[in-house]
Amino acid sequence: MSESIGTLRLQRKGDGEYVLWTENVVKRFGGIIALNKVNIKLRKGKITLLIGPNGSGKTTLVNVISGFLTPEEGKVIYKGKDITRLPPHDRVKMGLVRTFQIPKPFQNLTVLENVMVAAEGNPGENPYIAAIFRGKWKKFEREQVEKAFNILKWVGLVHKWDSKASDLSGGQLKLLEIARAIMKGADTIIMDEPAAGINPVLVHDLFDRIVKLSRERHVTFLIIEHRIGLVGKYVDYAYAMNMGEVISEGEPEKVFNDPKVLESYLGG
Amino acid sequence: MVNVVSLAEIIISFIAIYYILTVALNIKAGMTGIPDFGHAMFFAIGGIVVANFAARIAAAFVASQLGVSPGEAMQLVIAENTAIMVKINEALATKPLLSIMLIIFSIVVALLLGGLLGWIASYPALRLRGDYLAIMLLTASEGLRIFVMYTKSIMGSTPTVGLTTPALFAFTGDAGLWSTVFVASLAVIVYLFAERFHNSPSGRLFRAVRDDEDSAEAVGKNIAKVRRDAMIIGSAIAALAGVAYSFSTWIAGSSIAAQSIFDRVLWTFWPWALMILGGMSSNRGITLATIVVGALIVGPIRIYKNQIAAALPVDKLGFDPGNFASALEFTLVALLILLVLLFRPKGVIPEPPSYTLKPNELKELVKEAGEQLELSEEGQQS
Ligand SMILES: Nc1ncnc2c1ncn2[C@@H]1O[C@H](COP(=O)(O)OP(=O)(O)O)[C@@H](O)[C@H]1O
Ligand SMILES: [Mg+2]
Repeated sequence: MSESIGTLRLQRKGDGEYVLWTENVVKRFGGIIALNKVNIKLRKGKITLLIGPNGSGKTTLVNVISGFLTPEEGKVIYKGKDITRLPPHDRVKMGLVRTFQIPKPFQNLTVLENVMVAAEGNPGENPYIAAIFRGKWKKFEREQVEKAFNILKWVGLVHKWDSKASDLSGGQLKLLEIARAIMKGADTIIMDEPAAGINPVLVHDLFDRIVKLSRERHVTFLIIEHRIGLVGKYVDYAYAMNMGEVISEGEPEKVFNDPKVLESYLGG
Repeated sequence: MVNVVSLAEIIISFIAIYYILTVALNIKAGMTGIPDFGHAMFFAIGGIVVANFAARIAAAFVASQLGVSPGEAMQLVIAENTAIMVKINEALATKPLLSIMLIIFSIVVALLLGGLLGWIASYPALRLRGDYLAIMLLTASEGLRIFVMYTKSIMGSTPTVGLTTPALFAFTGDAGLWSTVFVASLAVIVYLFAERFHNSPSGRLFRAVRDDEDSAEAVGKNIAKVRRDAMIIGSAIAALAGVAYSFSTWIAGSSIAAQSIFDRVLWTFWPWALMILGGMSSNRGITLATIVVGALIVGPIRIYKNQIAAALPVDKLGFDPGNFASALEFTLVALLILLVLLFRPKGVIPEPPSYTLKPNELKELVKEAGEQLELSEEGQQS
């Protein structure tokens, strides 16, 4: 099975080192301080969980890390480089990919097309040659379609390859976002509430796949989830946020039982 | 009565020009989601290239026959347009090589200038969205129209009369027929281009950016570049439509005016209507819509509208038959759009996927993928 997605390189070296971190990130919306000097660190090849009640700033942090928002203060460091002001698509080229809390598929494209758009370096995406010199991209395209089908099979969507994304269920759309991220060849994937709105069976299925990706492919994950306990057993490390600040971090069990964390949930 | 051959030529020319213009709009609006309400200005570039640039070059080449220097001849194209163009066109009728070179020149220069104007117009398109962008492009087109109307050296001194076009098909002996054949051939080439473009990774990328810009960024696409490319390619093709129009003795006649080449009803509204009828991002739908509307409106309705109005009891309904007749084609297209939006909201032929590989090839690959994985999963279990 594992070799079918073989284009993702096996990078055992450097597992456990920090691949991404934030330094005192501050983000304000008018009067609201959505992020107040946030510091988090992601270890390479590990699954890091970020929990916190609604409105605690989790999505804002994802937006800052992925480049959809620029922080007022602080830095985002990825693979040793300051990426705080890099546009999202350039971060993606470095291997940093995110998914959205509310799935954002290309509605009128098929499932296969949605995944194919994520292929990196397609020569057929040069619009000045695409229609005239088809020989320049046909071979690449065929290889990528094979890869896309294997990924779709792996996330369990291959039977839907020909359906428009607008015909998928909420859970299937989450899987499609994951398929796109894998197609991108990302080695760092940030998922904003991948389990929200999915039935529990599918949630465990999804997390089994995430664990497999991190163990077999050494992909680094930051996973956002605001329901304590649901996904705890899958993760290596946890952070808890409340009102724009990190209030606890450490082993998942420790964080879940931290009185400050429990209080933040009761208060919210 | 209209001669049947002429009627066929008129209809074919009309369909070809509108098809090219609608494909151009579709690349920007249908595929990429840029609401270009200023489409007419790119079309107008084609008219300016033919009526001004090509005419001046023709003048320079036949200057000796006119008894003036090439420089003077080029100035006379604007200063004494009607008088000098009669002579130039007499000369062009005997110069096939010069005519053909000017035809090629017009196409190449219009594509380049249309693309250039599209590139300039793409700057606001990178910063504005939706209604704001639509209004901005509409305003730009109107502003350019007014500038051209009152700039004598571009389209002559009288905005409504304009310039006599060089008779580039006169050498064939039947300009009506051969301009029709040529314009129709351009439309066929554009059709093939549009099909191939839609079914390429670029077509897929444009459609993806239209559907969700955030997601496109999130998979590493530079959406600013995509929008800019769409504006350049779509606008270049719109200028090609303007050239086709200027070539067509049936549709443009023997002269074109600033007022008419910038007409926002003819060159912005109509292609939008045709695109909505055919289906956004649906090349075949657009083809069908253009053919049906072209054959319907230019054929029976534009020619027999007075008879139709007279035959119907419109005066009893309180309409003036004359006004009814002149509004008939718009009324019918409006009705068509309403019907299509009600019953086929995605157009007569909804947007197909981008088949970068043939559907059969895809089916084979999906089967292979399934088999391979089943095999290797069994292998893992054992
Ligand atoms: N674009 C925005 N404009 C204004 N306020 C925002 C915006 N995005 C988020 N916020 C505010 O920032 C705070 C954190 O929101 P968010 O990051 O979405 O929280 P979470 O994802 O943890 O539920 C909330 O108070 C929210 O209302
Ligand atoms: Mg959130």
